[in-house]
Amino acid sequence: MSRLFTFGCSFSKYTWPMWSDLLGLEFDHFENWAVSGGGNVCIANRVTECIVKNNITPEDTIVVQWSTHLRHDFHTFEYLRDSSNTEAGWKTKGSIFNYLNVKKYDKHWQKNFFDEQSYIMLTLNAIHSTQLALDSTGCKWAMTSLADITKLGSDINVDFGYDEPLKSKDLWNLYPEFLPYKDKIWNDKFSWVDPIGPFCWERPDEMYWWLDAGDKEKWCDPHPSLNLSIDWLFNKLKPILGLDNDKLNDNQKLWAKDCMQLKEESTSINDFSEVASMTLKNYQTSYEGY
Amino acid sequence: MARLFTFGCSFTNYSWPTWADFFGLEFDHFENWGVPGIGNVAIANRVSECFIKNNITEDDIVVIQWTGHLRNDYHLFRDNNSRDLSNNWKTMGSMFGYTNINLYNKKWIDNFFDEESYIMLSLNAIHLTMQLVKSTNCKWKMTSMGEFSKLGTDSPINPLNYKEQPLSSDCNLWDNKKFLPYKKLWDDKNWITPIGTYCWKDIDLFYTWISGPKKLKWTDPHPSPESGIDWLYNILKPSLELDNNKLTQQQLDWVGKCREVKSNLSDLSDFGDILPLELKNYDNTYRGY
Repeated sequence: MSRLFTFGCSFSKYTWPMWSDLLGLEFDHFENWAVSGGGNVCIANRVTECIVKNNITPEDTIVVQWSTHLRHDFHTFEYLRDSSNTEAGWKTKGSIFNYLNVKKYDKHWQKNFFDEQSYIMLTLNAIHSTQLALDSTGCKWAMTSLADITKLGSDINVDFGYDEPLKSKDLWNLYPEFLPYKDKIWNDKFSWVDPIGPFCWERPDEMYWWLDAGDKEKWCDPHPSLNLSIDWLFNKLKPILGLDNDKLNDNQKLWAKDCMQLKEESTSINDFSEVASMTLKNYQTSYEGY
Repeated sequence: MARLFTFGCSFTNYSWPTWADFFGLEFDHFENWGVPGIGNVAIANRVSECFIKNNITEDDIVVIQWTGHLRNDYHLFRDNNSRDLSNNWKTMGSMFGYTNINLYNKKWIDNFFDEESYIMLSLNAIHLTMQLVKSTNCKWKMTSMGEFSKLGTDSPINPLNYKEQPLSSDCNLWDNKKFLPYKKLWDDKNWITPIGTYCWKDIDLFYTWISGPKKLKWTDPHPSPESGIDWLYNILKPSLELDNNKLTQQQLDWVGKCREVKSNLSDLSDFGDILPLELKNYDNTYRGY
């Protein structure tokens, strides 16, 4: 039985199908462990949990999409103890500095616990350990990222108010002490796939633009539209995994058609997401793991 | 060239030579990456960093000592005046210990703390590190302070409110079904008897100190040099199939010097300050980021 396990942040699991969900349609068994807003420590923990719980073998395929370094990951089991708490276990909501986190990460917290260079180190260690853990399973695996990790978020050129950094940065110039990680992590023997974000952001006309209640003008959603996800999946990821990328299967075609129609009918992201989650055949939105 | 790399908390790198430092005397190259007070996430990060920086091969020996689950690991490259620590990993034992009362206030605990989640983070750190170590083909062993599955309840000594014992969870980890999938990690033959579990049986070997205005006497929960050597020679070295017949001359010299200095001092800080100056080749400086 072919199995696919995918990991990442909202670029792998969002309010409409991402590349992961599309690829999952080609497998007998598919689990999408991505968490919207999750950071790299969360992602590494979830890969580990998944490996522990599933007997991963050379027959399995795993794809990990890394996020950005400015996320502070934390977890609670509250949702299992209190049925009124419906939020999943990993509570990270994007960058420490975005509007959703202003109260949580106040000046006191930042003074005590935050150092950007340390958060970069945590990301590098998370990636390195995860690579060797995946290698030890013998499965087929590949890695990608939201944006180019070595640019530290400076290539995120869609301003979506989430406060990932926008100034030009280069990891190796800024922090040469991390150079020992460079060749170990971005090693030819590992399957790295071009980041998803930059691939899509070059084509703003093909992104989804929304006009929700209260919005004065349309805004560009930084997450890949369904068509861009398909494009990245078939032109970037599938060739690296050695999978046939000739044509979409019937279910993928159906999703593409349904989403196109739905997008024409919706200007609100909430409306679009709600209908997509209810109507797309075999679209799994459940939360995997702890 | 035989190299030894050790990792852990204060049970591996402390104010006097631990099992790791004594063992290191037998190697051409020894690096003790243990840091007092750190937790399991920091230990996993430090193993990763060390493996990145050193080309670990089948000729190397790696020993990792895991610690309690109630430690919140964080790291700063910059100075932080609120912590009198030269280490960049700023963790100082249990979040609920006396050294952390101001740092982990009610708001922090309400926002970020869930004991079961911290257990999960420890288990994930251990698994990830096991896979990492296996990938290198080096010789390796894992141990812990007490039995990890007892979550800190098996220590007979808990001085100065270290508070390493569970708050709300069961005292047997495997009674909690959530974590049963992780139980198989301990099936690996590279796990060896925990240091504390082994050493705490002979409390008479432990050091006692006198401190505070009331001159209170307390027993230090860290294995004394004699206890550490006992564990090294009876547990660790046999597990690595290394000769454990007798101590080297330098190990004997260290034991003698520790006894001599201890006999003249009853204050831990004084002992920790003076001893390193007296021991030849003793290097407990902080390694890595």
